Amino acid sequence: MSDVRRLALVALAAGLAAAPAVRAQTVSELRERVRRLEQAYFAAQAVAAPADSAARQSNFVPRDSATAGGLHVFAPRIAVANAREGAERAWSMLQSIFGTEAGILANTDFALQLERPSQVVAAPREARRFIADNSAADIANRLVWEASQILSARLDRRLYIWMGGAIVPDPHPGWLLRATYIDLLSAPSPAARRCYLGALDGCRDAFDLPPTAESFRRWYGPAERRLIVQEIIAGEDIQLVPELYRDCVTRGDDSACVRLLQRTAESAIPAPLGRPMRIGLVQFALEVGGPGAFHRLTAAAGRPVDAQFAAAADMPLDSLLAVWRGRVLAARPEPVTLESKGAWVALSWGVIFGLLALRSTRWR
Amino acid sequence: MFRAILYTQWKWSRFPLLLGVLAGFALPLLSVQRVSSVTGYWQTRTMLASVQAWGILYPILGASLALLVGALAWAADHRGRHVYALSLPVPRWHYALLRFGAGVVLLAAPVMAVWIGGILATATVTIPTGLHAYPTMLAARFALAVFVTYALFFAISAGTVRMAGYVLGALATVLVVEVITNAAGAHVSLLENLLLALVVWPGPLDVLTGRWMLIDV
Repeated sequence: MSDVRRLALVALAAGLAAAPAVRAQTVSELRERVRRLEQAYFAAQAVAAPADSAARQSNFVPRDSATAGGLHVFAPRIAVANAREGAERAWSMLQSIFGTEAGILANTDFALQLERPSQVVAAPREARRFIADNSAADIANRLVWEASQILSARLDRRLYIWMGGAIVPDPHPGWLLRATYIDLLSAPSPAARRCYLGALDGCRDAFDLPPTAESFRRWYGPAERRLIVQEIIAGEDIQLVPELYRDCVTRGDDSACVRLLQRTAESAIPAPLGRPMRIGLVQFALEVGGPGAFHRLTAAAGRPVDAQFAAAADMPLDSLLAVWRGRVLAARPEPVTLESKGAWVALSWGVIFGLLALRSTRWR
Repeated sequence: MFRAILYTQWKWSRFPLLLGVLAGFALPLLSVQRVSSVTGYWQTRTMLASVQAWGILYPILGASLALLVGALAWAADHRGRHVYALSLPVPRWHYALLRFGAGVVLLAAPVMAVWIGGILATATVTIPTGLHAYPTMLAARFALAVFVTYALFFAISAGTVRMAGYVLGALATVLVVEVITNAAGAHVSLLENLLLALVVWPGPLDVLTGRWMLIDV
């Protein structure tokens, strides 16, 4: 029986026991009754508290550990096999991006807390706890995310801000490349279009490399700035300066648009190649740079962001961007049309249904 | 005999068919209509978004037309208790084949409308660099979707009441089993798996799913 029900039953029983025969009650009688009910409630609570504590204790399970490379995971016994497999998968993904630097994870313990059934593993106080289902795939994903936060925290602050988030190895890097292709092609930015057509300065501008103040000036021309003000950031902020908004949108005054955008939070202005693409570019630099790339990247902290890229990839930024662009263009998504395999299957199903109709016994 | 059956089926289903032809022709044109008012670098994104949003209507139109034509093909026979069909000097399978063929011929009209509409729509807008028009592939996909769903609904309409009962009974059994197993604490997703089997390759309705893009990368 749950604690709440037990508590309610005890309180109800006490209430019933204390209830006199049904009749009108005076205020003092009511107060006395409330007092007795309160006493019964506190007594019930006193009984329930140790029971709760015992129940919580039973959720704690002795630790057992799963180790793969530099990852050491404390896990409930029922999840050790999955934790081991998950840690192996996670380690392989982490190594592919962070290379030798992933070894520093050996200094951190991870503790798996199962989501279902809810179990808390006994682990050192300083261990990083993470919640996952008891499946190798889920454990691997959560572990990769946790470990990536630790490793990304070692990055230069300016680079981290430029990226807008941690580097988390993606099990499906092809998806990001395809999304980047579409963004590069469709972003309403002359810089992105120049990049798509092969001008590397366009790629630098689209990525805002090196980061500049008022990056919207690099990304968009007067017409795009006006449309951004009109369609994207026309909100409460602009209500405060209606004359600027009018000059920008109605009269097409670019200086008014610029002043409005200057008043707008940087994060509210859409970048042609946004956060996932920026993180993707860093991951690409790490991939190109090989196992020592992340170490070189962290060692270059304090240098300009574009120089950090060059250090990680072990090549000039423009060369890196050229290789990146080639990879993105090669990942052009297949247009959603008709594959011959799908066409044959559809045709076959049509024929099967047609034959079923011919075999119907409707008038027999 | 085929011409007579074709004519009667045309008479029964001409209104939904004409509406389908109009809608099939208009859909591609409407999907690029907003694009022509946008210029500059916004055009690519607007075009993709607009074409994708309107694309949802192609499978809906195809399935609706297939349902109507498939059901109407047998409606008169059901009402007349199949007396007309029994009076003909042809076996049952031959008669059903004629009805099926007549429906396929009639459904070619909305498919052609989608194809012609697609060609016209793509000719009327300037397609930005990097994007391409796929009117023929879209029409081919539409044709297949119409064919499969028509065959499915035709088969269901041609079936006996007992068969419909079996199908409904099987569905109800699946539902009951799922409810009972979930109540017992075991997480079984029979309905979800059934649905996935239908719409995920190589399921029969896979052709309806995915993006229907007249213009794409």
